[in-house]
Amino acid sequence: MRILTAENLYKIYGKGESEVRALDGVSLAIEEGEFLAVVGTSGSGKSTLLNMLGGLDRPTSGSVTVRGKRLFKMKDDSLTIFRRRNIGFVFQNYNLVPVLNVYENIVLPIELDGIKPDDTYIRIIMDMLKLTDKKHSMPGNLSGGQQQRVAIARALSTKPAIILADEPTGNLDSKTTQEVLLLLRATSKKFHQTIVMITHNEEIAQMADRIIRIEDGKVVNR
Amino acid sequence: MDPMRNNNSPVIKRIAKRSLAANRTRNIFAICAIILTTFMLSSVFSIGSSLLQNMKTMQIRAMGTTASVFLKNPSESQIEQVKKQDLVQAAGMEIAVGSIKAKTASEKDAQIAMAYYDDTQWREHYQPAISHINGEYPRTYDKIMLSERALKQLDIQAPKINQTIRLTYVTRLGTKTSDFRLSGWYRNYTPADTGMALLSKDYCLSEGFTGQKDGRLSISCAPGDRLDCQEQLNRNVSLQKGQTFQSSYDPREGNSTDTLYIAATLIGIALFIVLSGYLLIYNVLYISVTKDIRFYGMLKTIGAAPKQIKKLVRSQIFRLSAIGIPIGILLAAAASFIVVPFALTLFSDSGSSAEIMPGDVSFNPWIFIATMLFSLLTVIISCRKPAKIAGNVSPVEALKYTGLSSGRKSAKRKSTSGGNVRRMAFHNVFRGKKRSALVFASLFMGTITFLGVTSFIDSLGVDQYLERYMPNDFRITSIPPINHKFDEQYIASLSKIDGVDSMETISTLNCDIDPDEKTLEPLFRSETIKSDDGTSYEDMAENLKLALAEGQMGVWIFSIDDHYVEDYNKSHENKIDLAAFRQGKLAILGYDDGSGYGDMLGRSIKLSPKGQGKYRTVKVGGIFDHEDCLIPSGYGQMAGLMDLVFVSDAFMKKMSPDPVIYNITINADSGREPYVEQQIQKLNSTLVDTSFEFHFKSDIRESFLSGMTSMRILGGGISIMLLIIGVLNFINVMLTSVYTRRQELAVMESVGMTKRQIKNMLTWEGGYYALITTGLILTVGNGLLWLMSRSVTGIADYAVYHYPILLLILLVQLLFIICLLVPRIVFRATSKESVTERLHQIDS
Repeated sequence: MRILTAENLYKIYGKGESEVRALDGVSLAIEEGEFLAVVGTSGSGKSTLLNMLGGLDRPTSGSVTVRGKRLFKMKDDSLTIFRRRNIGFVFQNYNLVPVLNVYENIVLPIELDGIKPDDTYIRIIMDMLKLTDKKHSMPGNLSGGQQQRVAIARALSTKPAIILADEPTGNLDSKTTQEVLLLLRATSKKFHQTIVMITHNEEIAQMADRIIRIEDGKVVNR
Repeated sequence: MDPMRNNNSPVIKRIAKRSLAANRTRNIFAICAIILTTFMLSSVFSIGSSLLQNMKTMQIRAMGTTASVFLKNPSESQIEQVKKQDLVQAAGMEIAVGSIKAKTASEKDAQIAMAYYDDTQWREHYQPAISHINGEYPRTYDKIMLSERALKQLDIQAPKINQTIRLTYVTRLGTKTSDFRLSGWYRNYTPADTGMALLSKDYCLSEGFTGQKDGRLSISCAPGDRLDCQEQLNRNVSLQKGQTFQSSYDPREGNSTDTLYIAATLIGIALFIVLSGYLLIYNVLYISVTKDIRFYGMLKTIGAAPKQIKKLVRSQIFRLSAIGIPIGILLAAAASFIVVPFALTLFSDSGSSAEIMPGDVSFNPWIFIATMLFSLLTVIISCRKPAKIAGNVSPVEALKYTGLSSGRKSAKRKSTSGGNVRRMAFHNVFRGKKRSALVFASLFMGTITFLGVTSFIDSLGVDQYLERYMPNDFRITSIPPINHKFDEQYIASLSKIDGVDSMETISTLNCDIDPDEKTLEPLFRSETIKSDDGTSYEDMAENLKLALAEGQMGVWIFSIDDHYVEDYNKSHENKIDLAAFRQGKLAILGYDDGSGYGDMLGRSIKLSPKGQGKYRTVKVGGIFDHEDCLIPSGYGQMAGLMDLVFVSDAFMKKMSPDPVIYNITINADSGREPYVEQQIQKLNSTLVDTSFEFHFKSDIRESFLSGMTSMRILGGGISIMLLIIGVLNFINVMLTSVYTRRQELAVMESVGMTKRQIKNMLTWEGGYYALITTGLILTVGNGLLWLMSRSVTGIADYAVYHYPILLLILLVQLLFIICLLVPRIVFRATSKESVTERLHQIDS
C-alpha cells in the first residue's frame, strides 16, 4: 500500500543569478512498511527533501500526499496537528525538550493532542529501545545514543504513518551507530513502520530496504 | 619579560570595532539601555537631593532663623564669653524696638514688629530664612527695611528704594511719628502673619536701644551639636539672676531622622535602578553573545585566548557606554533643569505665590560624577557573565551552543504528566534558578518601590493635613489674649445660615488652681526635673505653691463636646467615663508630654474662676494628646502647671454663667461650602470687633497645596520614573525569556506542538510569573509597606498612611497584562521563519 507520494517538488532560493535549486523536480513514492534510505553528499538537497516530506517546510511548487492527505493544502496549525499524528521525526541532534524527563519527552506528541498515552504500547517501545530504567532521567544526563533512542521512541509513540530520520547517527560513534541502526530496522519490521532515513554514508544506507540517491536536487537513480 | 605577553590589543580593538559595526540593532538596544539607566539614576539623584535641600530650606524658613539658642539681655562680657565657645558657630544680636501702629486696608490693626539685627544676625541667621531680597539692610538713622507682609499691611503695592514712608510707632519711649526711607524689602515665611520692619544700628544707638536692655543674643551651634553646645554655654558663661539659655529646635540639625529616611529611600531607589539597568544591559548582551557564540568559537579555533575574547566583549560595551552615558546625563540634566522647573511654574499658581518650599533644582557636579560611576559600575557588572560565556566557550561546543540547559540539579524527576502544557510552563518558570530569582526580584521590586514611594507621598497629602489641623469646614477663633466675646446675635445668625450642617462652640475660662501639694505632687516633681538648675523639690514646691496662691499661675479650662471623648474611647484602651465627664465630675488634662500627667489620673483637683476663690472639685479622668482635641497654639501658654484642662459644658456652666466663647467650628452640607463661606464672609463684614480669626478649609487647602507643589511634582516625577522602569523591566524580562528559547520552541513545533499550543504555554508561563510576583507583593511586600507605614508619622505629625489598595490592584492588572501578552507577541515576532529555518539556527 502506498503511504506517501511526492510529485514534482521544487524548492528554489533566491532569484536570477543567485538562484539556488535545492530541489529540482523530485517525485517519489513510498510503500507502507518500507525502510528507505536517501543518500547524497552535503548540499545535495536531501535534508530539504526530508523536510518537505514531513511538512516542516513548504516547497516552491509540487505536492506531498501522506495517507491520502495533501500536506500543503493545510494551514500551519492543522498541518502541525496532522504532522504530530502521522509523521515522526528523528533529528541528528536529538532535539529533546530539556525540561522534560525521558518518559515525558516520549509521550509529548500524544499529550499535545490531549490524549492519554497507551501505556502498554509505550512500555513495549521503551523495552525495545532499552529505555525502561531511564524513564525518569533528564535528557541532559543521557549519552548521545541514549538520547537518540529517546528521540526514536518519541517518533514511534504516535504510531505515525511514516518516520523521517535526518542523519540519525550523525553525532554517534560507530558502535552506537550500529546499535541505533539495528534498533531502527528492528522497529521497522516489528511494527511494520515506514521509515525514511537520510545519510551521506553508503555503508549505513546498506541497512535499508531501498536506496535513493540525490544529486544537485534531483533523484539520479532508483 | 613574560614570554607569553604580546601586543595584541590593536587586533582586539579592530575586531571589536568591526563586530560592533556589524551589530547595529544590538548596539541600539544596548545604548538605549545604558542611556535609560544613566538617565534614571541621575534624575533620581538630582531630583532627590534637590528635594532634600528644599525641605531643609523650608524648615529654616518656617523657623525664621537658623539660630537655636537664645540669651535675653546679654552683657558685653557675656557676648564675649559666648563667642569664645568652640561649639558656637555664630552669635548675633537682635533688638526689639517696638511696633508700628497703623490700620490695614480692611481697617484692622496692623501687626508689624520693629527690630534691629546686627550684621551677624542678619547675614548668618536671618538671610537663609528669607528670600526675594531687594535693596539692602538699613545703614543710616532714617532707613528702614520692610517684609512683604509689612508692605501689604501698610498698603504699599509698588515699593521703591528710597521712597519715603511716614510711620507712627510705639516703643518703650512712647508713641512717635516720623519719616523713614525704604532701603529694601524681602519675603519671609514664619507661620504668624506678623510683618517685620528692620532698623539701622544708628537708630538704635541714637535712641538708646541696647542689647543689654532690649536685646536677645541668637546663637547657632555647630550642626548636630545643639545639646552639647547648650551645655557648654551653661557651664562656661556666667549668667545673671533670671537669665537662662533658651533653646529651640534647630532646623538644620533637625530632622536628621527625616534626612535619614529620605536618604535611605533614595539609596533604595538607586539600587533598584542599578538592578534594573543591570537586567536591561545584561539581557541585551546575553542575547547578543549567545547569538554570536559561533563567532567566538571560531575566534577560539584560530587561537584567541579566553582573556582576549572577554576583552573583546568588554571593549565593545565600553564603546557603547561612551556614547550612552553622556547622552543619559545630558537628558537627565535637561529633565532636571528644564522640564521640572517648567512643571513647577506650570503647576504653582501664578508663580509669585509665597511658597515656603522652594522648587529649586540645584546643580551638583558630584551627582553627575556619582551617576557616571554608578552607570559604569552597572555596565561592568552586567557584561561580566556574557563575557565569561563568550570567553569560556569551547570551539566545538560553540557550534552546538543554544544557551539552554535543563537547569536542574536533580537528574531525575518522577513525573509522567510533563507534556501537559500548563505543567511544562510551570517547569519553565523555575528552570534557571538564578534567572527566575532575578526575574522575580525585578518584578517585585519594581512594583513595591513604586507602591512605596507613591503611598508615602500620598500619606503626606492635603487631606491628611486637613484632617489633622482643619477637620471642620470653617473655624472662627478669637485672637489671644482672650478678652473679646462673640456676641450672641452673631452666633445665632451663623447657625441660621442655610446649608450649615453642624455648629459647635468651645468656651474657655481662666482659672486658679488650689495649691494643695499632696494633690499636685506629680506635677511639682516633673517641674523640678524640667528646671534642671539644681533647685530642690522642696524649693520648687514652695515656689509653685506661692505662685498658684497669688494667681500668677493658673490654667485655662475649655468646655468641649462629648464627641471628643467618644472618639478618644474608640481608639484608646483606657476609656474615659463619658457619663461622669458629661455630669461635670471628670476633667481631662492636656497635652500629654510625658511629664507627670499620668500620675495625676484619679486625683481630684480644685479649680476656681480667676480671683474668685470659689473652688470646685473635679477628678482627673483622662489625658488628651494633641490629636484628641487640638486647641490652637496661643492658649495654654501662660505659665502653668498644666497646659490646659478639658471639661464638659455642664461643668463650665457651674464655673461661670457666661464663659468666653473663643472658638466656633462649622460644617456645611457637602457641596454647599462655597455658599456658606459667602454667607459667613457677609456676616463677618458686619462685625465691629476685629479680634477674630477666620479660617476656611478651602483657603487652608489651597495654601497647603501651593506650599507642597514642588514636593508633589518632584516626588511624582520620581514615582513615574519608577513605574516606567518597572514596566520596561517586565517587558525586558519576558522578552528575553522567550527570545533565548526560540530554538527550543522550534523543536517543540517540529515534534508537533502547534503555534497555538506554544502561545498557550508561554501565556501560562507569564501567568505564573505574574501570580508568584503578586504572591510576593502580598506577603513580603506588605511587610515592607507596613514597616514604612509606621515611619511616616516620623516625617510629619499629620501624616496618615493609607494602604494603596487601588494602586495595588491597578499594578497587578498591569503586571498580568504584560506577563500574559508580551511572550505571545515576542513569539509571534520570532517565529515568522519556517520551522526548519529556526531549527537550522541550531543545526548548522
